[in-house]
Amino acid sequence: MDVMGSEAAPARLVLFEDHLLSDMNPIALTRPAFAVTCACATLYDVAAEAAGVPPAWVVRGYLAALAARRYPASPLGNGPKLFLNASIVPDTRYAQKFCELARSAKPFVATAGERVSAAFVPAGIPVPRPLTPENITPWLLEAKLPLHEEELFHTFDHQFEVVKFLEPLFVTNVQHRLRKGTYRELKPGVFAADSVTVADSAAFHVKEGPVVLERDVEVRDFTYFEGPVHVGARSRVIERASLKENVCVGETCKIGGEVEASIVESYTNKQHHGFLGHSYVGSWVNLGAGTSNSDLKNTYGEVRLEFPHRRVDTGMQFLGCVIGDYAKSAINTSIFTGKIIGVSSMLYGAIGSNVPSFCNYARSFGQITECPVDQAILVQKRMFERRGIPQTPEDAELLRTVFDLTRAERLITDEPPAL
Amino acid sequence: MCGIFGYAGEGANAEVLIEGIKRLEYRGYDSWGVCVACDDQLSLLRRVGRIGGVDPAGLTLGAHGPCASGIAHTRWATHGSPTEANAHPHADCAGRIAVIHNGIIENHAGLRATLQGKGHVFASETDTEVIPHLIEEFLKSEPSFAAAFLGAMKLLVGAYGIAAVYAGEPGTIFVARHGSPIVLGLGRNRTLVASDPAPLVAHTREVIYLDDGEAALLHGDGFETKTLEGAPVSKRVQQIAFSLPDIERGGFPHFMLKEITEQPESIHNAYRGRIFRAEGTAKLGGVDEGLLRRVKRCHIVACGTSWHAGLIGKYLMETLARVPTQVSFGSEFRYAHPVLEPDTMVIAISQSGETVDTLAGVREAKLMGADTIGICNVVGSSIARECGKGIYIHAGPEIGVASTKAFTSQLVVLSLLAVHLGRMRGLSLRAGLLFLDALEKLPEQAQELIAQRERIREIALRYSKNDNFLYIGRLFEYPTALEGALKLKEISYVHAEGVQAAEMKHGPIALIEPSVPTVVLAAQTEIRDKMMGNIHEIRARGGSIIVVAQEGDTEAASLAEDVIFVPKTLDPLVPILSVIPLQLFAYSIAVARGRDVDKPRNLAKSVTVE
Repeated sequence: MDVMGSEAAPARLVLFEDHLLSDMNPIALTRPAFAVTCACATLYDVAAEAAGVPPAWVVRGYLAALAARRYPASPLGNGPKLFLNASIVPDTRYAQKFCELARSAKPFVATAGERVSAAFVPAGIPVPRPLTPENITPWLLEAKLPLHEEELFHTFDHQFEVVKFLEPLFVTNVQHRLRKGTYRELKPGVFAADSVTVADSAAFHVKEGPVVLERDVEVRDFTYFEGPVHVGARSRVIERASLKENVCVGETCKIGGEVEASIVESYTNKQHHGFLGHSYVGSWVNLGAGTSNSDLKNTYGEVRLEFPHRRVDTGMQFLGCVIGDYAKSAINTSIFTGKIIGVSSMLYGAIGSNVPSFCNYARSFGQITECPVDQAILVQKRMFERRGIPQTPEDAELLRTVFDLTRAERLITDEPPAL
Repeated sequence: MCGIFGYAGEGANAEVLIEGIKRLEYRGYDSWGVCVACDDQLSLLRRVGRIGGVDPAGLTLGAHGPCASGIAHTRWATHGSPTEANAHPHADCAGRIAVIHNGIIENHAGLRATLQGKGHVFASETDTEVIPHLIEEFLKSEPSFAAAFLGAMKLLVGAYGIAAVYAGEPGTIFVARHGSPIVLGLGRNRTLVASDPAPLVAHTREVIYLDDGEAALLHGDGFETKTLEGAPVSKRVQQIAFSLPDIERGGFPHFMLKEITEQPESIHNAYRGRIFRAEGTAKLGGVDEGLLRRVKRCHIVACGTSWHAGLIGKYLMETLARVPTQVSFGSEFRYAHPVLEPDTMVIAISQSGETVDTLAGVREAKLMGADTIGICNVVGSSIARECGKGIYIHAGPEIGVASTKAFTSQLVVLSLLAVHLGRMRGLSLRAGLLFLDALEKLPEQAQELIAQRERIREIALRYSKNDNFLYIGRLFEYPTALEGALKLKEISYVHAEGVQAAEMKHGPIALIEPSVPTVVLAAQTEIRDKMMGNIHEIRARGGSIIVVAQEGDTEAASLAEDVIFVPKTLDPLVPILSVIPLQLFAYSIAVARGRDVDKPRNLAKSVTVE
């Protein structure tokens, strides 16, 4: 039942991608912006909880089929709608604000920087059909809705901000999860859902925040947790792993080595030793043994991201890397501070610059080549099979589309690396 | 602003059409055209220049058989310079539909592209030309010309008063109105249409005024009025009572008053089609984006009232865009060996586009390698051509020598330029939207001020015998004070001096005495408290005060002998509103003193001498 706006026609929540997503790459290349995990929540989760029903959404065309499979959507309908930018950070406190705005039924448009962050559109205002990320912002602004006096919501404007917002949101979000879910308290500050196994030798320090283990999580011997930490369902924390301070692990992952203040999306493996700090790692990534990243410059200065035609000051002293879905790193890969690793790229050796998507990056060995998309699709299939998941034509088509979209990032030959 | 005229029925010919648009020449006079519909053919004639001296008998219109109807147009260029190709009427590809238009079609670019994609060939640079082509496109699928005409009208965005003729129905004129005036004249065996009653008076005193969203079909023996959806509309027939000169002045005693009261419309026309809310900025087609990105500083060159606009422009550029801006008199700039650093954009402001000192300044700037843009009212004027790029203010003809609506339109255009530059340089989307929202409220707010006309006149009469005035203001209202003083000087021959309010204490305050009223401009928010201080200073010295204050400022009202409230707006836009009561104030004093308001002594409308 839709709990909002019950006096008259309920206001439908609509999550919309806009035309300003390119700075969220590579994260947003393979997933809707509302499906980016930060501090153990996604905006989709927050909106669905606020509405009591799945929100409607508007995404880039090539993502629609996959999004429909994973993120059920309500229809747009003809009634009033509360539009929410899909890049709004997933702060669980926003759920109440979404409800208030939808119930107030007062038309408005709110901005966040260069974006429309939210808008209430009453029934009766014609909605463009189809509604697309390209036409939605111009439509909302041309509708001349009253400008809201506050900038209501923060948005992710750059990919590194997913790491930036991790610490400010983590405790709030994980405590929200504890309130809403069903957990037993294994020890003070350590909460587990059903069928969680925790080795007796695991150590938990919860002074800064709780540790939450979802259903079917396995925690092996001599692991070390320093909260707040959240581990998604069916994930395995490998023996002697150390998960410290604001670590959020997705579902069906294998995590070993040292992880600090990082986000790991579902189906990703980091099974062996190596440091992962202040980073975002996408889904279906495999980090080979000994892969480590730096999250602090030797100069202790603020991290600046370098792109071909501009630099972006992050305002962060600690920033590791952002790794896109399907990327892989070989043994002992070393990733320097503040590096962006594209979708389906293969890393070898020392990574001293950003890596485009579909790139075999072996500069340490003198080679950087393009990773053919057919090979990427084959690797995807193999990795899916190991998890008992069938690869669908949409999965393969996603990689083909992203390969085409990212051609300009790669200005290199397509010779395979010789090792 | 253009003039349209149409005649259907007995006696329709080129002569009566030309006589009709001669009566409308004050609305626009850079080019004209006539089309007659005779026996399944249209005959069309267009010329550049004024229609005033044209003898219809000397024209060859290539008429075939008796004419059943005709339309004629006198043009005030907005889109496209005054050329024969750009003059109206405009025709479709087959030459069987002719259209005349008063107004601006804002979505003309998109319509043109779509129609070109369907094979339509355009011959002019005007927005109007999309109309006959659009009707032609609709005619391919609609059962009648009337249905095609109405269908096309519904796609147009902007302001229009349109009259069309079709060779297939030569006895009918098709008319539509949205935002530009249309009046129908009902005669015996004839029906007429015009932008105002001026050309109708010779044929009839019975008229019908169309409202926005209405259309009409005029035949020799009658007419039908409809909505754009085709539903019949019943209209009231009215009688024209006034004389021809009254009609040209729109019923006002002077062109100046008419132009002051036109400001709600002229302000709207200045930003019409130029607001780009999708990005919180302005769209300025006449200025190169690359230049605007490159610009590091601006130098405004202007004279008189335009110089006052330039001073406000400086504040706009620096406040919104953080672009350093300097302002020079044209007469100084041309001789003063100015220093123009690289990437300086010189902005020439001139209503007529012929001001010789400003024109010389433009030429000087170009010799020094600077980029120049013009902000002018007259399309194709010398300054516009010399600059090669710029922004027209679309204020329509300004007949009164003292500039009124051109000033506020210049400010609107400078505001658009400033917000556009600002958005390129870090002004936030939110700030841009707030500014554009405030800009779009100005016509309604200007109308509120004009509604106070009688009250302002009563205030002015109390001071009509004073021989010296001071006008004071700060920031955006300092140039407004200068302009208010100039208006009073120009048309009433009373001495008035504009002074920066804080500078009063450095000398001019010695002038304060009961017989020297001070007009205090205090409608801005940021600087209001400082202006209250100035008011106290003047009161302490026995001066009388007329304060122009923000609506609801009861404190300011309590400290002054007289108060004129202006609606609240953003500080950078306050001058556009504050100047209106100053114009009315000056006008009322001039009339009380028996001056020739439209042609004050010693002054010319366009200063083409040094």
